[in-house]
Amino acid sequence: MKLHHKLIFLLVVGLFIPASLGILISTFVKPAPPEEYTKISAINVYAHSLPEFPDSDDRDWEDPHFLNYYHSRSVSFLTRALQQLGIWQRSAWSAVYLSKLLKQATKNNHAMGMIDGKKAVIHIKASSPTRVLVFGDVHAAFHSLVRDLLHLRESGIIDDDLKILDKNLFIVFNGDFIDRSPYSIDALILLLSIIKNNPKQVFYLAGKHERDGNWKDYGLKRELIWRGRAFSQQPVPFEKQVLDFFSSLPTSVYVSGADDDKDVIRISFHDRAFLGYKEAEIDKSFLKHDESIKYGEISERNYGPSPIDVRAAFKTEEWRRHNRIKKNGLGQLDQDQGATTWAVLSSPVMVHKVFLNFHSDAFAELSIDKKVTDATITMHHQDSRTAIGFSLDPPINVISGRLSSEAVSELSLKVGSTMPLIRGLATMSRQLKAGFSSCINEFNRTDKNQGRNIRLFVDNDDYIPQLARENTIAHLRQGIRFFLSPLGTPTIYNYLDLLIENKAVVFFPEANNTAKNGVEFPNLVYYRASYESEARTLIRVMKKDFSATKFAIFYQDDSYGQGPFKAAMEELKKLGVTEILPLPYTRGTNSFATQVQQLKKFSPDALGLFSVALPTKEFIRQIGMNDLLTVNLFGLSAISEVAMKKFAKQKGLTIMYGASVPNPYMSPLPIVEDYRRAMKTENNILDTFSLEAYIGTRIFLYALGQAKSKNPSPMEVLKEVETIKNMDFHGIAIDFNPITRSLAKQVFIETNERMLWKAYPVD
Amino acid sequence: MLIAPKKIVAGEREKVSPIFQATMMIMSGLIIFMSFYYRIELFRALDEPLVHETISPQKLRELGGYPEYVDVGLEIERFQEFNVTKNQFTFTGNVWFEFEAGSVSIDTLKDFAFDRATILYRSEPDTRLLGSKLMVRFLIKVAFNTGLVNSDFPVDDHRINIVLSHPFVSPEEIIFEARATNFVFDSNLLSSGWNTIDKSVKSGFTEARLSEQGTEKMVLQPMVAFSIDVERYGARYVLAILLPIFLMFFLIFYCLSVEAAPSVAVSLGGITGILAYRYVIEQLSPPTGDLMMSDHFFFLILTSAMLVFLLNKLDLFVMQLDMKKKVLGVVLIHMFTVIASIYMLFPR
Repeated sequence: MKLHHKLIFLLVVGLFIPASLGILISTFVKPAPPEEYTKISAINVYAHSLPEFPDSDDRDWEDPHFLNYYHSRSVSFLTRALQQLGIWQRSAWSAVYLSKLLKQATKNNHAMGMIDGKKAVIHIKASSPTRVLVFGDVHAAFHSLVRDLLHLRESGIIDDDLKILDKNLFIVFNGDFIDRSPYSIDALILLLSIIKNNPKQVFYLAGKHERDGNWKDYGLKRELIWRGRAFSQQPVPFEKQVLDFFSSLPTSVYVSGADDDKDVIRISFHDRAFLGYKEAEIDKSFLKHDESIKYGEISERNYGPSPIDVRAAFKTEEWRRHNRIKKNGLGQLDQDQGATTWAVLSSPVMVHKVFLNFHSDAFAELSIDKKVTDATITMHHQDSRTAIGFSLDPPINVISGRLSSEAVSELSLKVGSTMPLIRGLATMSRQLKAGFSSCINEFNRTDKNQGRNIRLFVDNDDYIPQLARENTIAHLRQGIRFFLSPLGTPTIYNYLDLLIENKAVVFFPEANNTAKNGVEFPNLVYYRASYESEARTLIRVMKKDFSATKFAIFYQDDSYGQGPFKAAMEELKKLGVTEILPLPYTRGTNSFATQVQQLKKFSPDALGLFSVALPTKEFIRQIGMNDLLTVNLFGLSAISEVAMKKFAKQKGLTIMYGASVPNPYMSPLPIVEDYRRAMKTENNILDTFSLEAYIGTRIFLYALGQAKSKNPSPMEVLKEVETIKNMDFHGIAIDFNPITRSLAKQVFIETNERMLWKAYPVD
Repeated sequence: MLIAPKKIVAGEREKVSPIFQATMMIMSGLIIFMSFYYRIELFRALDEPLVHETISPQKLRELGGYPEYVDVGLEIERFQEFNVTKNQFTFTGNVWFEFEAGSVSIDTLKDFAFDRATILYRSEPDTRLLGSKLMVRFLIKVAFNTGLVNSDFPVDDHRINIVLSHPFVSPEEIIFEARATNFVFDSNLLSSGWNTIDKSVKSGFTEARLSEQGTEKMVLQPMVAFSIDVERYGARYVLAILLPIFLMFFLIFYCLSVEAAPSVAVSLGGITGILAYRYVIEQLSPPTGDLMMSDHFFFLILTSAMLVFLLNKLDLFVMQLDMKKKVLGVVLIHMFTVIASIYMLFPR
């Protein structure tokens, strides 16, 4: 045989035939999905074969793209052929296998009566000491989950075959299990395998990423496209199976003790406002059943006159607001309708590492026996960077947040508030809420609470008086008689009659117009000085320190703005100023062409802003900076939001604001230092509104403590406030004025965050 | 050790078997074809990356904690122009914003802009209440270009970014949010030759530094990028550009399988053909100064063709090579071509 004939023979036999066979097999025969990873030990080996944090294509850790990494993991036609021939066994879990598991899991959920997941819930009734492990925001952290499973295996909770060994132990994955990491498919397969082995003990709840097709905006969709492309011709492979499964995922798990007839702990991604059913109306009969587990969808027949009472909750914050999570993975959030609320963060995915400095593998162990009030949380956590072993924190009470070894608060006191949390004055409201929530969380956690536990019920009213009234009616129905720091002059005045009728009291609202003060409204007590007082002080400072003689006043033409406007007019008259331009506007307006035209024509040397932040910003923007160069700007405390200040700074403007509190960033007063500490504990933003709410709440708690009875009525507590005379309250001078019904003795003028603010006596 | 040249008799020499040549060509062709097939299956967009900053928790705190979130959507009704080669795109459609009524001024909002684009038409705002939210819609016609990089032409894939930003508000006031489901277009609208693979949406903000000194003149703008991932549909360009030059290249190998006299004509004809085909490639290629994959392949084939020509010349005029050396030469040139092709298709 000639040389080239030998070469031809070798090439044909050695390369051409195997290559052709490979192409044929891979083209016409789809490989069977590998299912060999069913033991934790094997899964661990598989996880070790993959990099935990492969680089993303774009380094956008909120929604990273891992296309290059998927390409590096993609199975070539030759590998597929070798797999098919049984020559090459080592492979990854595939999208096909996921699809198979999804179908099975969806079928099981449907069989358990969970078809519309938004209404589906699970009730766990502890008949003996029961543990519920709660995982939050796993975000496809496959390696972290494997480490958690290894820890559970070492703790004797599960065996190597992913089987839970204790029948009184449940595991709940509280939503947002997928996306943000390159291993959504692997993590989902692992979770579905655990569920498959323990269908009545492991529950996967839907989070934001699982609901309403949101997953199609993130990594799972891309992973399915690139890892499932070889197996499916659909634009998004196995989309239907994923959608069907996610829509069947339940929303909440409720946990109650053996002796509880209405108290429950809710585990859900969402808070009450965003559940797909009316939690406040679920009758306590829902909790009565003989089984330890109950599944189903909430419907009208579950509603009744004696509702369940959610005393504690696990939920998830939007990731950007996950700023209260400690290194152990647990964070205490603001209360949700009277429920002490916790967030658990379980995974060290890149977005958590980079932006939250969170590196832990973590989960919570909720232990419950007879009563919800005795239930505890124990955190299991380890630093994933070293992975030297899990630590267990001492258990804390799920309601008080105190160590379980300490005395548990027995007496709960319900406190309500209604404010525009979404529209209108949302920034102010949220800061107020942060201020009083920090104070109350701190109070509930300390041993100075005299056995009391304060439950906060805060509702949104969108700055709509009617909605505020409806919220108050609902609160009164819930037995709430104490109202704390509500916001909005028009809204508060719309439900004062209800307070008198029900002997309820509003303590320290974030509004104060003298027009409604006085003995006419004995169920209202203020901490702050009135807006009128602020307006008068600002006018005096403008006239005296800035020699302003020509004033324009931009004001909201309603019960909020009219009071300070009139007070300013009177003060200007008193000071002999005659050149005054009133610029009223209607609430909700964003177009100020007329006012801008009038202002430009008038050309004032001082402009008063008796408005709120948004219209003020628009007004300034529409005037343009050129016409404000020589104008001194001053405004009521209501516009002094952080964002407003940043806006002014960005435009190069200096605005002098009224304030009812000293400088929250700088003041050395003991109460302000306490405030800064409490706000720091909960990682809240400092500002005047939250400080005002904090001080008000401290005074309220002081008065509560002064009341003679352990369970005082609102009028008794009010009486204690009314007896405050010239008191130095942790550095703040307060004195109850029966005419104005206000405690404040000073108005502050905010000039600069880095300086102490000058105080002026309230006139 | 130098080998003494043998006496060359015109028209007589030991020829490389045409069957062997054909087998080698089939093998090389098959490997190169499979490599191309696999490369075309991969999505690899080399375009300029999107420049944007994520609204991180730290940034959110810096922004005051509670900016207004505005949902943004883009519906592309029709692409009047979708020319990836020239990097020219024009579309008509709707851009919409949804926010809590009263929280954002429409007068301010309507000054939105698109990066690297000209808004040819912008309608007056059309508003509608959706529960507590206000939706503001603008009809628009936009001509834009995007940071396309054509290095992989003719197996290029692209991510076409349509970046909406607002130059006159800062993220302290407004944060744009968007979902992929807010980005609607009919993939059939894309001109033939391109296939839509995926779409994505990213939101955040961009930084514009107006001066090199300090940060005072730094301007932050909220933005949303709507991205379409496209790949070339079919293999028209690959075949049109590469098949002829590969065929010519394989043809040149036949100079080793024919008599001495016609072999020179065959090899020179092949090289001339490859050079002439450069004009056709230029006509099909995007106008760019960068070296593209088509250029790399052209130079590879030209080089390989020259190697065959040299082998032939060496055999004919310098010294008559024995069969082993000729076969080895053929195999080496094939291997060089195949390995270089794979390297160029899948650079690390």
